[in-house]
Amino acid sequence: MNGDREPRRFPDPGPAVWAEVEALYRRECVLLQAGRYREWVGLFTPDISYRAPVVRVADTREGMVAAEEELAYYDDDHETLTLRAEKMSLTLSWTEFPPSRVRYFVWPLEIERIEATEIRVTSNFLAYQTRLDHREHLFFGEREDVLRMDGPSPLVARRRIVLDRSRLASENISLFF
Amino acid sequence: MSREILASVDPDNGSVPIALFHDDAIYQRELRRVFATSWLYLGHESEVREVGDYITAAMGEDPVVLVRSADGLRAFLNACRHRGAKVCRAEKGTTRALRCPYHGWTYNLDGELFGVPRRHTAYFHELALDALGLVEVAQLDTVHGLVFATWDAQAPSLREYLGDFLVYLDLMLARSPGGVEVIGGVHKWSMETNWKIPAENFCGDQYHLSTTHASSVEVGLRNKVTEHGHTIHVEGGHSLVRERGGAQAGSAAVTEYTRYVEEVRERVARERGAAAAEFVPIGVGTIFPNLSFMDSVRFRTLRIWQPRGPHGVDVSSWCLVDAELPSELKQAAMRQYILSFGPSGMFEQDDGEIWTSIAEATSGYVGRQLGFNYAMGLGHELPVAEAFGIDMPGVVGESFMTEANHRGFYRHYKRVMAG
Repeated sequence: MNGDREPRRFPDPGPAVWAEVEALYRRECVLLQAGRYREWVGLFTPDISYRAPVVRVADTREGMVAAEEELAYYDDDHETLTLRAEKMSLTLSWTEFPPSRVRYFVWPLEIERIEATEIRVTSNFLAYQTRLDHREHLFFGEREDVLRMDGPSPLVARRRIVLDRSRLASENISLFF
Repeated sequence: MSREILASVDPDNGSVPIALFHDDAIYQRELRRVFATSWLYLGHESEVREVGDYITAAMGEDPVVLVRSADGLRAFLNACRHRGAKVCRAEKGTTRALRCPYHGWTYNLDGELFGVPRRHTAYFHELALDALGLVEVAQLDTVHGLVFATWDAQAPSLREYLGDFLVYLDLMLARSPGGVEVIGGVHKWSMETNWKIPAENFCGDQYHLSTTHASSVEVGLRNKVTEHGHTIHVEGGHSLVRERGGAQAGSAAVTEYTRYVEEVRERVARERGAAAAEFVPIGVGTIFPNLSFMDSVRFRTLRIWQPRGPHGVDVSSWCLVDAELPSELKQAAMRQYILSFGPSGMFEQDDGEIWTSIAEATSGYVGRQLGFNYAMGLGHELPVAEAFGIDMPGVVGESFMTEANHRGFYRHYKRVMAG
């Protein structure tokens, strides 16, 4: 991610898969915008690796994104994502009580088939958050998903999120990406 | 005006004026009296292991670069002596020299100016390079790998500055043979609140846990808060609060790291006695003015609250682990830290939400005339040695929930600001 190197190209999986992926992402936007986090966790496989490495100002592009064993804003498996979703669903979770108004935009997508039952989707995203009477936050970034395609609908098995900001301009992150 | 505000800082009667968190003149005085004279945290030695490694940091609002030269650690104001451009613009890197990108003045790792373009044709050999080295901090020292510096040549040594708190720092940082190191990467974010709000919270605000963090308690990430622990402060404005059994114990998402902390506690009990083992893990605290820590049964973090105007804080937060830990346990501690602290942490996200609302709620004319209340446990404090019959320094609250540590912070703050 964010590198100069041209990644290896895999075949485009065709229009049926594109439609499935777009339907999944539309669904995800609806759930996140409505704060339906418990349902949102259902979009991930039980072995999900959900990670948002920190970004540092470095002299080279390769050095900007923290490595897998380094710090992240999220580094969750299914158990901890579920815990976060439960917490965010409680009215005593002040960071989303009163709730934020949120919009998600995920575009453009690049979809590649990497295994018989797995595809990789790379996308840009923008999450706009406003809460209380005037607070506003913008989160721009890049997302790379591995989707597993062997069930009735695709599920996210691996997600890497890279936010573009190095020092976040918000007092917290109460959104998922 | 700032004189009147300071005069009404009265922790011994449980009151601190709200204007202290808003007033511009007070803030400018803090930059001079607090941040240009105190020992401030720059980073950990493990972030600059090799000659040429550097990180950038800040002391108050002054940007600095911490670099390892052949002679050891050096810290400089990150500004070229010619026209002030930053000589290091990355957060971390490795370099052989510090070269200003504006006109090319170049300094070696000891801060000495050695390269000036057109030194002969434009400066006629008349520029005194010796007098134009990077501005260096007045003193730099380390304790257990934590690098501190001060701009004040007259300041006491770091060890004198930490004073009675050193005993407690030893318990947090030197309990394992290999010492500590930081996990790569830093959580950096900005909050619109005064820097003293988070600093005093980490002094020992057990009182906020049950309400601020009710949702994280409800899902089992930590147990309900009890009345059992020690809330301790020492001279110099440093303090900590230690919960019996260790902070952040809970039923959800428990890892092997928690078992490791129990093993360390048993070892410390054998080596140094049961009283010392009570302080493994040591809990939550603030080293005056703006370095806070949390050493829990799940993880350990260090963070600084860098002032950015009366209503701004830049937070930098690290995850600290025992160097000798196998990588799986380091990773477990890191994941637990991220789950609970940092901007997305299930605990810290609610702190940020509430701290920013304090700045908003009290910045009006009427709000600024009032005082915050620090009366909890006033008159109910006694020496640690007397309370527990152990040879440890400091003063402890009679009850676990107390604002004794907050009062210690503001007592020292007032002394420094008056100076």
